[in-house]
Amino acid sequence: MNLQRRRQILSGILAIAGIGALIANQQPQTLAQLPESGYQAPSFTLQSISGREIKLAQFRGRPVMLNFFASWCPPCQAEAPDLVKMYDRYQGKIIFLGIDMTETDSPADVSAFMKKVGMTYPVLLDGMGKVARQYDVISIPTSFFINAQGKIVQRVEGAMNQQTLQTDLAQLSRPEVQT
Amino acid sequence: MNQLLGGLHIGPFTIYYSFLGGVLFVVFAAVAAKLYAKREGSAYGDVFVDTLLTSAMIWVIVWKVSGMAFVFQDILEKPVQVLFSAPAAGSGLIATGIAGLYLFVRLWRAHPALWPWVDILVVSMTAGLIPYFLLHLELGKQTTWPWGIWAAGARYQPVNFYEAGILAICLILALSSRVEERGVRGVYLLTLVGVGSLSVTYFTSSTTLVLLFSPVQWSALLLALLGIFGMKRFERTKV
Repeated sequence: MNLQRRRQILSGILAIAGIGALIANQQPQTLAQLPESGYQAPSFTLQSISGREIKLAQFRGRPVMLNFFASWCPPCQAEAPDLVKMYDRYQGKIIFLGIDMTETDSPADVSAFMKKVGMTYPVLLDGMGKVARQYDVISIPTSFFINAQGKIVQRVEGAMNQQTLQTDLAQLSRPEVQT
Repeated sequence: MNQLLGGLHIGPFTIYYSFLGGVLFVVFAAVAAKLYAKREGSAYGDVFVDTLLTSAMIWVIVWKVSGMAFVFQDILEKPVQVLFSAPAAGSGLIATGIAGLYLFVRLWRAHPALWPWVDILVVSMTAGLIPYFLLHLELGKQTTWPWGIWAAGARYQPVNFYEAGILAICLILALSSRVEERGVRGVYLLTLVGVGSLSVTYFTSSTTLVLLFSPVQWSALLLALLGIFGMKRFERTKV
């Protein structure tokens, strides 16, 4: 078969594939729940350090920043002051949730840590490490930026500095990221 | 198969499968370029492999340190924290841009003609992407098909395996074709890859659309159209 014939056949298939893709794009899309960018954030319910039951689903319609940490972890300690500064700046626009890896920590240490760095946003206790496993958290800190539709926009492993946080949070609060 | 989201645990360290996929991409691309250049009697194989490996190293370094460009004060005040910080949001794009520019300039300086490079570049990239997709889990639309992958109570299309399969078929088709001129195999494979990748997107969940298509679909379309224009140029050559 000569090249011209191949080109014609492939052009035909490309046209069909293009129409197929257009039709597929119009169908309702259901994203899988996976702890990765581009997927729906896995749902969970945890108790906060103040004893309130908090569900991720209750924040649907607002962007959320999830931060997995432990009070003993040096990179988490280094990141915490910047998180607190950013919470003060974005309070009301973005929901901040800290998730303490309580399996390797203790509520008393977490309370002392929160007091020391001035952390006032809700901190949830993942006593059995179930949510950390659900979110496939291998190293801490690990953070998830979730848009108003519940889709993970970004997953960041490692400590973020103020500039990185500022960039990621500014992006998360933009209206076009909410779809 | 959801284990593909995790990694290999070696003592306190974890090597993510997606990272391993990136390493295998470079290894397979380099080996494929070397073997292909040898098979075709091309003198450019070694230059290409050398440039590819250097580009990969540039990518890793730029990806890790590009975020530091925005935190001059932190570099002086808390250098260790900056060194262990997570890469910034745009680090991947910046790294890809710089590594790609280096690859282009080095190859151009080695031989400023397009076609000797097209075959090697397209064959090696396609070969490299096969293990990359095998280790990089991507779930698409919900399905009832038996090989669908379970995630949070529903079964989804394993799009990354389809992509790897399509690329392998494209590579076999292109390598088994007879060509009489340099560049023909490259543009033919480019068209096959573009058409194949666009077909696979039928199974993906495309929630972000720009002018009716997702960014991945636009990329596949662009590759296919580039290949078709290239094929038109070589029209009289028999394959």
